[in-house]
Amino acid sequence: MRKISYLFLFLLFTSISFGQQTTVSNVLNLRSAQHSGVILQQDKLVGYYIFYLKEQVDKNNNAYEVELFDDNYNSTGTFEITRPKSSYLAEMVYNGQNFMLHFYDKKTGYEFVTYDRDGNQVGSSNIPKKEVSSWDLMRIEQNSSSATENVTIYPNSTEGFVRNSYTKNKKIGYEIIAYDNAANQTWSYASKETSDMVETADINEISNGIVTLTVTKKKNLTTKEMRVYCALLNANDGSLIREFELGSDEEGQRSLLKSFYNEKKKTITIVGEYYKKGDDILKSKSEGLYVKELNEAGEEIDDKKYAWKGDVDQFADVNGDSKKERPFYVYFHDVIISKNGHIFLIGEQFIKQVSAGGVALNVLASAAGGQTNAGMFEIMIADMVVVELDDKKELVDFKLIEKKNTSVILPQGMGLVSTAVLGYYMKSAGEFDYAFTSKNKEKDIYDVVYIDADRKESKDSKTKSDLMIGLINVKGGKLTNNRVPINCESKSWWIRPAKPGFISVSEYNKKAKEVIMRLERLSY
Amino acid sequence: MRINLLIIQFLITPLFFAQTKKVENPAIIDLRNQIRESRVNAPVRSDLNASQNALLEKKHKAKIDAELRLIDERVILLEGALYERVNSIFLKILKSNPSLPSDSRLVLFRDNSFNAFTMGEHVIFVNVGLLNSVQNESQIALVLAHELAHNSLNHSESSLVQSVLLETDQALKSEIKTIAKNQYGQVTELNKLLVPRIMESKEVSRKHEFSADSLGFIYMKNAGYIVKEAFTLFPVMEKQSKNVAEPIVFTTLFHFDIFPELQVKSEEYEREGSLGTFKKDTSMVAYLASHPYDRDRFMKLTKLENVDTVFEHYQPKKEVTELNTIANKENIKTAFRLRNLTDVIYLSFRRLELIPTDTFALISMTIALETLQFTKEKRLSGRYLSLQDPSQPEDIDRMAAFLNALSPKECLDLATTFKQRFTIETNGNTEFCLLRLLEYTRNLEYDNIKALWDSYQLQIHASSYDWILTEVETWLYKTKSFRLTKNN
Repeated sequence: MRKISYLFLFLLFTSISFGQQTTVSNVLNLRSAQHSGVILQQDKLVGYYIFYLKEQVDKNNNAYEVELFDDNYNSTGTFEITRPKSSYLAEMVYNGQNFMLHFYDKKTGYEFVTYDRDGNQVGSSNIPKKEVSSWDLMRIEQNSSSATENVTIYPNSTEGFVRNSYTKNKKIGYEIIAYDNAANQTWSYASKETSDMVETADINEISNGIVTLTVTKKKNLTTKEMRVYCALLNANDGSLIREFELGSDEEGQRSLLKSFYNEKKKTITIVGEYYKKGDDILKSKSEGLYVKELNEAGEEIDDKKYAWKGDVDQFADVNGDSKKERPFYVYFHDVIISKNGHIFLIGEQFIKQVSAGGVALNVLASAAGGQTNAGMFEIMIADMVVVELDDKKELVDFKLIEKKNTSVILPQGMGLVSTAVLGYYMKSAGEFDYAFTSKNKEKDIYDVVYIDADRKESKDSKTKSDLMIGLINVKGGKLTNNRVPINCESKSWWIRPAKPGFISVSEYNKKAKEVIMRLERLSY
Repeated sequence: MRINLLIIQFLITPLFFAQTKKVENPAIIDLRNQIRESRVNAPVRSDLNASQNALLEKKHKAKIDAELRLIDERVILLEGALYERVNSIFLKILKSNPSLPSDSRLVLFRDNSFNAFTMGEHVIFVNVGLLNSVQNESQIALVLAHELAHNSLNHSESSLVQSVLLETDQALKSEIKTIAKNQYGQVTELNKLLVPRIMESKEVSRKHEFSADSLGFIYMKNAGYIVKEAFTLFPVMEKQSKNVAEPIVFTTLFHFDIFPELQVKSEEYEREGSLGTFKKDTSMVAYLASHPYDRDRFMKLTKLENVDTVFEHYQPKKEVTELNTIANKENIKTAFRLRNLTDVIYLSFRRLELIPTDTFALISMTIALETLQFTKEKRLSGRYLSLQDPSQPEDIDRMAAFLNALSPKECLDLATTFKQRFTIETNGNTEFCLLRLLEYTRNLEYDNIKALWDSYQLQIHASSYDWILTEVETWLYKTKSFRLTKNN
């Protein structure tokens, strides 16, 4: 499940849109607790919400106000909600007709409430805490304390929502639950209660009545031997269309990065990495990429592989550049499928290496008679990677988009972990430079945003911006990349995802206790 | 007109004009003195007790201080063609109504919204934005007479007294204290207690408006203004309050024939916000409004005057007067002062639609587009461009969407088409200096920048374009190869 970092603000009252910028006043400090988040609709950012305390209603309950903003920061509506004091708004999703709000209460468990666009409550349903799996609770507690949010709820057309959760099976399992717009559960699909495997699932896509899941199965939590499956569910009744393993013992394992439904061809395309026979996904470097095409019944129509060595490297212009020749691992963040059928895999290079800084810190700490948590190894994060396939699934390009290398010193002991696993660790810790992808499927525009530590505006330029954003733009199936300088007045500032084509820049004015938010265009 | 809300707003809001420089303009000094004098003469009311009168004095002084802060050269107009024109109507009303205080003063306020107000002390503020929308002198006379009537009827003082009574209401205080002691439901209880009182005060405010309308009408008629023409103000006000847009066609002025890709960008406009349209609870709006509905006011006045009561019969002629033209120029200057490039371009665009050769609009359009090019390149334009907002009139919203979509190059291309239509002289004119500075900065002509900077930085800093200079200066500073020396 994706993580979107978001900002905790202490927002007491109104935001004022004064002409060009939106100012939120009474922001007492940046760490205090009420919160704000983004509203997503099928991967597209359509707005923001702010959730704040209005008053204590009685001993146990508080009245909250949820204020909604559209993607231009215009306040569009408010909901007043009374919930137990211990309630926490974990997520808000919009399906084009209704909003689903997911509350978590430390004492009572989960609550799902739906609202229509006029602010009227449509329905609600509860899951008592004792029925929520400990893994789900752990995840939500972590989000609550670390100011992050997990996307677990997805719109199911305009008719309802689909949620992804863990279950209390013999071992860890998963459950996919669908709700109608009144928050009534309409169907559920879960891994077998008696399964002796640890099974988890991620929702890849819900479109045209099909839910595509990536299912992983392991014997236990610690093993690196993992099997990946793709499961297709009927979004109307939750029935399993087909589940099949990606890869096998005979041909080697496969991972699933992304799946997507092709409305024209009525097919499902899945994209991922494949591994050498006997290799494990969590331990080894992949052999290459694959694209598999299935019909709506989940039967294979086509399967193509692209080896790093022999296929992809044909497009890499190494030219004696030692950096480019290094055996980097690639962590794939996202896959973009444009309307012309081209597929773009967006990744980032990383490699484990001995850390000069870590060694020095250890030497210094030992000399001082102390110790440090810094390990001897670090992860070096290098260039962005784009692999492009055409509509016939022929490999047409492999691009390394240069950015300044950054290093992350690994905690002690992590040096022994395999590089592949470290990629997942880096992702969960938010250490990659990749920030987010904003998507507008209707207009066929995708912007991949990453941070470039080289703040110079161009190679020859003496001008340094406060932040340099790297941008990979895919518009109408054509890829361009650019570097975008972002400048701010305040010392406290941050960027956030915004509507496609834009980035949101917020600056905190400590003296005036206000946050000024503006949108800047990323690409033209 | 919008007296009550503004008074409250000005009393409680720290004003952003406070930091501006004091100026030596004699008219402004005179006006400040007049207002300052009334600070000493705080009202004493026999219907209030000593402590209430003390509070009234405190509030009166605070109001005067707020009003004094408004009197700033950058924010008000006390001279020039526009001022003379409106003031002649103002003086005519004064002359025809001997009961009106002879020290009554008119102040034009640099704000682009459709509004006029008074804070007492016989000073009437009229927003330049209002003058851009009115169509005849009788409409202006009605506005001025209405505000003068507020003064005659002492509504400003009444509002202060009302707030004193509210604040010193012991029963209310004790109820608030009781609520404050409650652990739960404080906001709900406070709402229950205070909303009826707020509604009551709004009702008083609406009564004030009706009475100012009635008396103002007499003042206006005494000055010989035409009743039927004055009534056409109400459809104009309704159009403003309902945010009715005028059709806008970019094709010719933005040269879609030369830049067809701009047409594509203009067609990408979507009126509805990303979350759709929300139904808002409007049941309380009528009760909470400080002003009566335009149609109610209209109906009451037409009945009073015993004239045609059909609202639609008073639609004003769609024509642009000389006054609109002068006001529009001031609006553009105000938009620059408020750092709103969307408004500058929109207003310049509207002006050029009417007068294609208007040099001021051509220069303003060019400066705005070149500044947009510069700030877009540096990803700073978000500070100076309005975001789309479906609650805005559609023509303004369309312009906001279009300008957000333009690339830096497209901004410059468009600027060039306007720049070709006037000659940049080297006569020290602020606008020309700024255009030259923007060009030198684009071309990195450091020697020229320095020469221009040394000669004209103070002049530009004293103008409405100071923020553009600051952005250029900041960027040049960041290049580190070039530092500008600041004159003190």
